[in-house]
Amino acid sequence: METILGTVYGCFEFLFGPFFAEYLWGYNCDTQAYDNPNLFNSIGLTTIAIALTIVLLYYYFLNHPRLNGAGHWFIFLLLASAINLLVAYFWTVSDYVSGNIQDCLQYTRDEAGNILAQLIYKTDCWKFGMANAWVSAIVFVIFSFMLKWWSSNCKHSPTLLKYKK
Amino acid sequence: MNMKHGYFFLFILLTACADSSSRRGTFTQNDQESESAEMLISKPVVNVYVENSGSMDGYVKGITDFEQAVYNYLTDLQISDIADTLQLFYINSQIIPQQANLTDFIENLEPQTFRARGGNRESTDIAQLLQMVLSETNDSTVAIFVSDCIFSPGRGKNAGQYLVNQQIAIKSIFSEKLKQQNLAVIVYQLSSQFAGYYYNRENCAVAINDRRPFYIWLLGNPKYLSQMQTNIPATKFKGSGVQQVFSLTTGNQTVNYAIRLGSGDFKLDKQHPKTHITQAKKSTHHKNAGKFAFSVDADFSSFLLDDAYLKDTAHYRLNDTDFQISLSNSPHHSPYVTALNFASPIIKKSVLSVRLLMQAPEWTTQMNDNEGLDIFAPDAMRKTFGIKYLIDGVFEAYTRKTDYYTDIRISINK
Repeated sequence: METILGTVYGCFEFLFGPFFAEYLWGYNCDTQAYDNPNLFNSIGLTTIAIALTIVLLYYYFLNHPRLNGAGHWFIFLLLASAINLLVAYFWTVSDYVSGNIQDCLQYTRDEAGNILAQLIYKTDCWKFGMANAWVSAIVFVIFSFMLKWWSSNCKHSPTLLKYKK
Repeated sequence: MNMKHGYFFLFILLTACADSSSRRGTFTQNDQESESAEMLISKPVVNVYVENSGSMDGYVKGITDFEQAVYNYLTDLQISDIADTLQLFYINSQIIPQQANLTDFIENLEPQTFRARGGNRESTDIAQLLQMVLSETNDSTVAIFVSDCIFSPGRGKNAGQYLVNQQIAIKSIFSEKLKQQNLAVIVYQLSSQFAGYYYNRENCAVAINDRRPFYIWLLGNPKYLSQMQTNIPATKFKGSGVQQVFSLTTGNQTVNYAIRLGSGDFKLDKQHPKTHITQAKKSTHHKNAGKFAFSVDADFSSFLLDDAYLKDTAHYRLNDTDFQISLSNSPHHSPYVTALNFASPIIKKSVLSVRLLMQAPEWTTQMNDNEGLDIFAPDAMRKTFGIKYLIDGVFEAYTRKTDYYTDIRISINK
């Protein structure tokens, strides 16, 4: 159960790379175990909370007839994704800048300690932010279809395509 | 989506993630902990036994490499602050305690003193000497035994049979001791000027003035010996320096090791990241392109083995012939020293077992004088009569139950 969110984010690993993923899984170079905080869960839960908040804002707090439509709904989806992109970026870039990402995850070194390859770059934080934006969009869609039914003005937004027989 | 199902999904997701995100140490691994439960005092008493039988006189006539090497080693031991006290003894047919301090003890290392200290100096029963030394050795003491390690069967005896019997006796003595305590052995071979009588296997004395080998044995708990080895490495020996080393610890020990993240195309298992590989793939780059490759970093420091031994692939046995092994140093800042690098042309679900083998050193064969009759025979001067039997006796005691120091096991999943 603890790996659900990490597995979801794993679908986007091609964006941010395997070593950035190990950092997010909580790999500890000193103990060679995953005993650092699992950031997939921390960031994932924050993402879910933000997406849920904006869904509730759209369907229940604003709940305006003029917002009832796929276009407006999509703007709110983009809003949630943008916020979550920034959350993921600033969360991880603060670790990157402050040196909290451990050496064995950042570099391949030889026996003398010379750097052979860099494994994590600052741009990976942006790439993870983009991955988080996608996860946010997915969560937003799921929450929308779960919660829209009790909205007095926006329950038809968005609508599923129906094929005429 | 059915609304009830949606609520249920949301509830499960949030509960599972909230449960895990606040916890640390979820994916810890304890199965490779090698913390010993042994309770040892911080500093051992070091008992120094210098053999003073007649065959040793030639090493102590004047100022020799023998004296410099022993004096320097014991001085280093004192100033390194790793020994509680140094107790000095002569040994032949009996143990003869010496009250002198280290400096006086070394300055008195002369043939006359050797003779004056008494005991039976006529012949040397190496097995008996080792038994006496080991009987005085326990978990709070370390023994340093200095000897030429030459067997002296005596006139008219079958030398071959004598050596084999001594080997068996030595095996028996060490086997019994190993039942009582965790004992490690380090044997340093050095050489020194020798001006005196060499006694051959028939106890016939021949005057020689040449360089002859002698041996310094360390016997005690491996942790103490490891400390001594670290503080006084073989390269720091004075005199002519250490020519050969042999060390043994008990086998089938658990050591710390871990698969190195990023050493190949694979993922680490989240529950057992040190020992389990998942999603193994063949490398597409580096020197192992087209092969499944990974590295394991291991800590073999508890075995007292030198770098040359640990870097020799002949000392490792793999249960899977598809894998090739190479040895290197672990990367900088790694808590480990030795890196075991593996590569295989095929990937299959398996458990790879790598055993670090206990092997007798080849130098004992090269340094062994099997005859012990003519010291002027080619190469006999730099050899020791029966040293191979002596070392083999010790080796057989340690390898009676197992022939490997440790077994590293890596689980591989595709």
